[in-house]
Amino acid sequence: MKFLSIHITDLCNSSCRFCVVASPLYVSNSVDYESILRFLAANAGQGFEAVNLHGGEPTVHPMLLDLLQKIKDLGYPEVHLQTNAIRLADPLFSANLVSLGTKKFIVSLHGDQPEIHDSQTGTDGGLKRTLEGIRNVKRLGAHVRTNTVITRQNLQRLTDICRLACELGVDHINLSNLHPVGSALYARDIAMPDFNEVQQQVYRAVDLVVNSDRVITLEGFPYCVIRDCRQYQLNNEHREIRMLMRGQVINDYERFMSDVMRVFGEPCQHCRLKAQCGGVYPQYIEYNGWKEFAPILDTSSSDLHPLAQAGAD
Amino acid sequence: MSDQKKHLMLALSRQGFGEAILGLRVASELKKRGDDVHVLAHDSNALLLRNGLPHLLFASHACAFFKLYLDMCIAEFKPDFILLADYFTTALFFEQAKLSPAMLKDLDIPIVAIDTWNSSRLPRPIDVFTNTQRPVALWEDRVVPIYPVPFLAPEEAAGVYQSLPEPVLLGRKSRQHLRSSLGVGEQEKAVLFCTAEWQHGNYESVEAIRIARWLPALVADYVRRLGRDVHLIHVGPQAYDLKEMLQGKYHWLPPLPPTRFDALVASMDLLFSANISATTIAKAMVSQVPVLVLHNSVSAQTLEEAIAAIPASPSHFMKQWMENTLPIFPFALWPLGYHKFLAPLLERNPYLDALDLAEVLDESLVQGRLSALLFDTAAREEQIHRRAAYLSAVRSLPNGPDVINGKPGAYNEIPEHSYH
Repeated sequence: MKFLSIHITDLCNSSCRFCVVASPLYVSNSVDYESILRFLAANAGQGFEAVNLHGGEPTVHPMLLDLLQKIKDLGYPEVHLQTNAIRLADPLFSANLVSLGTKKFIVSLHGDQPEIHDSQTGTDGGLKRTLEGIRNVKRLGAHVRTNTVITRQNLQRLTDICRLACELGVDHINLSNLHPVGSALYARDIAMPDFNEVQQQVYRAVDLVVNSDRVITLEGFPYCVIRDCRQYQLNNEHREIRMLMRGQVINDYERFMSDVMRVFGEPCQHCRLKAQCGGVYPQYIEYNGWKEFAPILDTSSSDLHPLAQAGAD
Repeated sequence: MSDQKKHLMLALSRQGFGEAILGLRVASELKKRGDDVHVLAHDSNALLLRNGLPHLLFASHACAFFKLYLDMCIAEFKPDFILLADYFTTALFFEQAKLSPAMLKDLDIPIVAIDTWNSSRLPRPIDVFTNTQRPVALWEDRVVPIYPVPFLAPEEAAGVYQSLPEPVLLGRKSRQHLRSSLGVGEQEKAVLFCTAEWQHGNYESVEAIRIARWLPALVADYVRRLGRDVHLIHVGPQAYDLKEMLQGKYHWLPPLPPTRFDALVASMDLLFSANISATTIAKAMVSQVPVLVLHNSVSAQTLEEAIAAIPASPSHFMKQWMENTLPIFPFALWPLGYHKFLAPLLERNPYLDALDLAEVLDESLVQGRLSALLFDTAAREEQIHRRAAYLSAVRSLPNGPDVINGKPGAYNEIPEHSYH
């Protein structure tokens, strides 16, 4: 898939302790609206299948509806919105977004209970509104993908979070490895689990989602730490992403993430999947070193998760 | 020469950010005036330069090729001035890399040096560890020094300039977010302790290794004595093994990008330091964060000597700590020492009015001041009040570019003989 990805605001109505862009530390918006419009105009008609809007929280941007109209006018086929879905609890607002071409909502869902979700996102009553928002846009026929950042706080509830998403009719569930930058830089100590702790929980969550006939993807995990489920890695799908981030254009976002934001170490040298694997966040290595990593030497399906093996057959 | 000037800043310190921070502070003021600044830096400073000034980095293994890097910068950038950030670490770099400072002199470009410690009036050699003395070849005749305040006194010498960082304006919500991200509860307190690479140094001296290793444990013990509601936030290149001791209230962060670090400092309840000239102290000062600095004046070969030198009978922990750390040597800059070296600069220096200073082995004093500065609003305000007078005096000084470019109250021009 080929799409544009635009950071439209630094501001947010949540304050997630693992926010990669540190939105809660911004008191004003540094993103120039005109630069967004110029970027969209410059890339129009070049085969981009969608425009992905994110922030901060794009729904707090006062010009969002105007922006959606302009994207539509420029001929982009669809918009994907990365959101906490709090404002989607307003049915009229949701309807406006959908009518202006928003086809996919990528919703942050970090807990299945208020004490898990709201405490991590710093929103009183946030989960309730997020769930209402998801229901609203599902009713309108939009595609919903939830994104759950795996933390120490929600790790034991991962299958419950996935179950909730399935019950809501979510189409696609994405589980993200915590990226320790932005606010998460400070929260590593209390929020970032070791891969050793994560692995089995991820496998169980994957089981549940696959058995529920929904799509599951895993994002930002080195292949070897979830080796049995590596076929669910989000980056298995080829994505061509051109990003506008605070005035800077990143022409190949996937490559940027792999080459600039992640690293490979000694255990990776003999891994047969090194070329596909994005590597590991260096900020994780600073904390935990390389002890959990081991090269994948056998790339046959025999070491895959049983469900995947069945699929492979 | 046109009004707009070009400055090549050298930030050659390899094990700490302080000197480069001082340099970048001047550089940002030069930029504001319309001057151009390019930086040649050791790559340990990369974090400070990311998204900032144009720069060229070199790695430790390439120190021997420094002249090539320098020549490249001179040829491409054609600077009107060279700015050393700072003087002392530049001299140390040349000495340790076995390079001749003549390569700078021969360029025939005026050299301005941030002289953090007014080298001209410091005793030499420097007292390092117990009895090692570090000779540093300085070359005062070749540079024009400018003197940053803090940490020097505002009346230190002609050429002083104000080197205060911008205060960090952290909103209540951001502060709360940052603290909760660290795991600090709303009713809890957070004490910041920062270390640089050189404080983790694997020195050849056994006593240096001991004090480098054990001081963090003493800091943690002082924090532990305050009770379960106090967290120790440590920013430094390596974590210390203090998690168990502080029962999960020790949180390590690696060196942070400047904006993130500044926000962190401003969100803390107290800065605890063992480096009297740390640039972080000034950051805390302008951000209304109380500061407690530890130093040591005791010199002891044996436990008996150490006990005799302190005002009260030591606690069990302190006794054990002293046993582990012996021989104990005086320090103003843990773990190096520099006690005698910096003493002249601390005499009658109002910088000391803007913070609290405590003898590291004086348990009652350290504990009392820590507790007061954390929990007693009046004590906190009293330090902030003392500090206000100091900051006001510093702010009345000219800024770095004014000094460099000969504005009123500073040099009218850089005299030729100063750099030839």
